Amino acid sequence: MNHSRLFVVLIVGVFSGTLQLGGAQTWSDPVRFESAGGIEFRWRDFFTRTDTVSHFFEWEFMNDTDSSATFEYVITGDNGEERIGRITLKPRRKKLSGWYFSGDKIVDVALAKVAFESISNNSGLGSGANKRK
Amino acid sequence: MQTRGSKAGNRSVGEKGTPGSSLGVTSFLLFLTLVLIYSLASLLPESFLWGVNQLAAVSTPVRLFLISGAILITIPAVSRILIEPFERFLRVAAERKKSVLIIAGIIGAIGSVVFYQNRIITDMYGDSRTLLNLLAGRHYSITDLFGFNDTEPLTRLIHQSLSRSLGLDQKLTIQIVSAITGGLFLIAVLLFVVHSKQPPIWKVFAGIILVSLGANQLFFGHVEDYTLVYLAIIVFLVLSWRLFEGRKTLMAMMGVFALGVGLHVEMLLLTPALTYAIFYSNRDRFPAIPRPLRPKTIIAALILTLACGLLAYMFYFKAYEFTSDNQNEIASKIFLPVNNPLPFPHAYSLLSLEHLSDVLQELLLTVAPGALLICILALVRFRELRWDDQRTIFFSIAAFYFLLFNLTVNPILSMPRDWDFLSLAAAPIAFLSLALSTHFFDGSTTRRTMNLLIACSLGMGILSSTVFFVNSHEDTASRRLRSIGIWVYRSYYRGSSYIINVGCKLIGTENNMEIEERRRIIQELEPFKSKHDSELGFLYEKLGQVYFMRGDYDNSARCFSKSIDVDAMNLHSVKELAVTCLKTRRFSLASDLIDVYNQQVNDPVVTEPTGLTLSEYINYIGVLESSGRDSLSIQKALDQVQLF
Repeated sequence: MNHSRLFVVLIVGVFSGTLQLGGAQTWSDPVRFESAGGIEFRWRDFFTRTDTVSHFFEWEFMNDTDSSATFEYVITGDNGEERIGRITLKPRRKKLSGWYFSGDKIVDVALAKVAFESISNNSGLGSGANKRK
Repeated sequence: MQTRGSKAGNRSVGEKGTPGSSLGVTSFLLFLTLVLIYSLASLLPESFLWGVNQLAAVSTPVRLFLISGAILITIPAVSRILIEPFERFLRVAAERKKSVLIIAGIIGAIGSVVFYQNRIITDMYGDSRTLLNLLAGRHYSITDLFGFNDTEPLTRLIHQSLSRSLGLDQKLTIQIVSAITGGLFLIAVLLFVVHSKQPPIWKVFAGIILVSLGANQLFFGHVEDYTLVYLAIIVFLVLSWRLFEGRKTLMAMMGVFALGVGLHVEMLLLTPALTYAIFYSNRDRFPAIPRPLRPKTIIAALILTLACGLLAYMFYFKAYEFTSDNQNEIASKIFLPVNNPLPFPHAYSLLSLEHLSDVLQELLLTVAPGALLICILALVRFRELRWDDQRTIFFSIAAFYFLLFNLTVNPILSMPRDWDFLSLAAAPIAFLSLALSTHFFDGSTTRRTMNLLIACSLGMGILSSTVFFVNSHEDTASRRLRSIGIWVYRSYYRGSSYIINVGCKLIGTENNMEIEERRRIIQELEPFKSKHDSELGFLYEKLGQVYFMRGDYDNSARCFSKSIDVDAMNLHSVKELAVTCLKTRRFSLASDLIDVYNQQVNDPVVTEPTGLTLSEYINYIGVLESSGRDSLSIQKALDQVQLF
């Protein structure tokens, strides 16, 4: 993955003048994962940068269980772009993140190496593939 | 119509064998006192004496040179050499009216260049940054002149239109307008003194007073909305001076007044004076008019307006107290409260000593010391002056309302930073001093005493005018900003950290001086901190940023932590601490911190997307780390993380 390209957006504040706020900040329907019960994902298209016509997607992982959950994820946009990450979610907590995509929507979210506290669930990637938006 | 009022009024203030004979001694003692104050203040740069401590920003040899120069000027032989050529020039100029126009034009042009070349180096004074943002984001048109949404529509329209039509940067346009306005000011001053019906020696004095006004700093490329209205006020006052010399200038005064109100609403403070001028001009036409012109009637009217003002303060603006620390509430109440909820020593209020001291310092900074000297002399010799002189009454009314405004209004950015907003009072006070000075230059005062008065004014003018030099050079402006910032922290409090921060930034990053100075200032302010101290929190944050830029992440993290400690609401520091933790590979802590930040700032509505992208990047580094990527790859990814 090209780090330079990825990290450029961290200086998004510099380009705030080129941002165009998206409509409603409406969240997608929650995505649930068979291999990771209690973990939910949802996203929204927050705004579009008018100069590069890239969409800024905000997303949220929620842990609705009473256990701490650690997992890796792959988020895929409709142009095939991917974001990978690894997070630890404390019980009943959520984590907000976001990134730019050239496409219009997120089409797939997959979890891997899911572990609830000491219980490991090493199901492979694609556990959420049937929850496409 | 000039009436002789008090019994003592007929006695000359400079006459020998009367109390007037001590005029020279009194003025010289006052001069020495003020020079002593300037000298002592130069040793106390961070004290309440910010209106007179400009010498603190220059080196000791320069300081000594200026102080000894100011004293040297008062030696009769020296003052004669300086004054007499000017006097001769003004005498000749008064006789050659065409030549004086050409000379005034040349002086104005040279003055504009000098003003521009020595323009203020920092945009920290006033609200320059906000103004430029406003002009960039809003288009002004003629219709704005007839609305009530803006307090200075004409100034903004002029600045914006010139910038667009000339294709110049907005800031540069305002700087050029400021310098050209300065040139016009010099022309107006020269024409005023040349054409006034006073003796040439008074003209020299008047010229020195008007040129050495601290408010003339507005002409040094100052990026704000006060320069044009300041010139309008000066022209208005010159016209009114002419009115009391028997010229028919009332219509011109009214025209300048209307224009001035469009330039800035503060011009309205001249309404009572203009009303007086209208009564004065029509005193012969309407028999009933002389009554309102009587001093007793005027004092009654002043008391009535004060009572109305008090009622408005209490019941309309409800400004007697702040119920919160909310900026909107503070701005909407316009005036300073009697009760400020901030803890000591930040409980700056209408009646606090810090505020009263600030008002005095503002006067010392923006009014020429020579003008203040005359006002003090007039008060000392109160019984010897004709206070019922129409011109004196007019300028007293004008100065009174400006002073009242300065005393009560809330300088949202603090007085040392918002000096420009309050500097307009300098013009009526200077003209009041000129009106009073005519009693000291009336022909019966000895030549030597008049020379001494001029020399004292010139000497003090040299000391006070150093502020023009100080603000036009980076190192001296930096020193001044830091010192006034420290005073603001101890007094008005709000916004002090911005002043200190800009002052520290101007030091430059070449060596360790900036960090050392920031640490020193924080250490000095620590004993005065309040429980939740946003200003100190900001200073810690900025120190953390400087450390970060130098790659000293441990100290940077300490500063960001400290910033959060003293001001839990400083969410920037939370994000910056997260970045610092990421840099130092404390991924779990970085993740927790950015979660706190996002929940405060981006939930439920995204207001700062960088918090989300940073969170995502931390997650991404987490994958690299857990997948056993080599340290070099992770470091490469981390190297791209920056604070901004």
